[in-house]
Amino acid sequence: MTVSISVFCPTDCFRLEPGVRLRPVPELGHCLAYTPARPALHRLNPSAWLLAELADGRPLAAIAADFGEAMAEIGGEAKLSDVEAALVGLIELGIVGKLATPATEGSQNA
Amino acid sequence: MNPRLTAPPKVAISITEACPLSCKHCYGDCGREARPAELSIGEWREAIARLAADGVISLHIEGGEPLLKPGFLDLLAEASRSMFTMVRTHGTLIDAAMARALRDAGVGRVLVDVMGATGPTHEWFTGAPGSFDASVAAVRHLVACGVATDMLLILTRQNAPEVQDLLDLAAGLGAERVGVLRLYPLGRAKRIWQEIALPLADQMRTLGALRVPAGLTLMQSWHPNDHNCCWQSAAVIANGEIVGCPYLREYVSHGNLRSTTLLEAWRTAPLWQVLRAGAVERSCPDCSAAEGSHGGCRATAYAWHGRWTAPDPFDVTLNDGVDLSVLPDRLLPA
Ligand code: SF4
Ligand code: SF4
Repeated sequence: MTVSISVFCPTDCFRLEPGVRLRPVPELGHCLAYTPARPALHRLNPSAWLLAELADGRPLAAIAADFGEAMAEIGGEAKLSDVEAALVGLIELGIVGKLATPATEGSQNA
Repeated sequence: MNPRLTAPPKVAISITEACPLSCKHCYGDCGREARPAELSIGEWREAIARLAADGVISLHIEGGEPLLKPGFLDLLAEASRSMFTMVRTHGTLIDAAMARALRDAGVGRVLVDVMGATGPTHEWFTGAPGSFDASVAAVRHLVACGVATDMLLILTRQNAPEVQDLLDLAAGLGAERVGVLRLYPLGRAKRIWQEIALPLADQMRTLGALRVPAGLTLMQSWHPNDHNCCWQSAAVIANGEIVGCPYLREYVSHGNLRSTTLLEAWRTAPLWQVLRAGAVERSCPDCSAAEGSHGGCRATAYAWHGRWTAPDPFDVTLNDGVDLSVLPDRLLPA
């Protein structure tokens, strides 16, 4: 039996880092992401793009559920470990950040 | 045909035509003083805010010398909040304090131009004693404070024997990339074309002999990387003219920022739509495969042939016997 160990705590929540700007380029099937804190322009593939859009302050399970649903709509599937790995990538690039507790409604505008 | 974009994600601006150097080849025919028709810093700030609102996420700023534009650092800081910014400069105004100021303004990358790997060659072009050492020092200062830095060189007869030395110098200084650029028949370069331009075979020989030092990236747009990037290119020069690309500055106007917006011009200017569509008479299959675009650079194609659909003579497979060291009569300055 394989036991998968999450790199994240169940209470970890994820959202775009402050100041990060996403610029979808649907004509080319990617999204550009600008990270002003560490000035760089990144090209996100469609799944990284979707994940970045879903990272709105909710916990991993909620983001992964929406991600899985979106994948199912196009006949694909998403394992939790893949979602985690993609989130790790976005965190390393400074696009998505981890919050210790869920953001309450409206807290991003506070 | 080329990919189609509904709005440009990347824009280049030539923010001023003022420059303390007097390069023999200057494309913008720049001088010490800004020209009266130049957009003011206030007009640029307004225009840049509009660009960001219209979806631009990458802004390349060149001149002239951008650092000479009064209020430039504030404009850079403002732009860098929402756009990846790149600044192209000759570097002579960048000491340690200016390098830190650029970093603190959030610049994404600085590109430092040199015209050789030695003082005498560089300064033959710039006409400014000490300017080579100042440019090299600028790279050192930028790298020391953590700014991603490239060096650029326009390939000419005078500096072709020094390109390898420049790659080695750049690697030693900690630059990330060197861009070797083709010489365009623009501005003052036209007046001395025969003295500085190389035939294509000599250009290719120079590029083919290069050994890229570990850790450095070489950028070059000759075969098999001859792209037709008009499909995604958008540019505005110092007087507000929307030209699509700085290399098209003498051939096109898609409107002026004083009377329209870049997005409006992108959507409506007929010639811009033609250039972006990328209809060309012939394409190099290797370059098309590598670059996803067709026909090579439109500025050099048009300069030599006078047709927007013509083959790019800087590509070995499309050159058709054109001697690039000779300008067409049509382009000779009066
Ligand atoms: S440094 Fe650039 S802008 Fe200044 S004179 Fe030379 S080519 Fe022109
Ligand atoms: S003129 Fe040449 S360099 Fe400029 S956008 Fe067109 S293809 Fe690219």
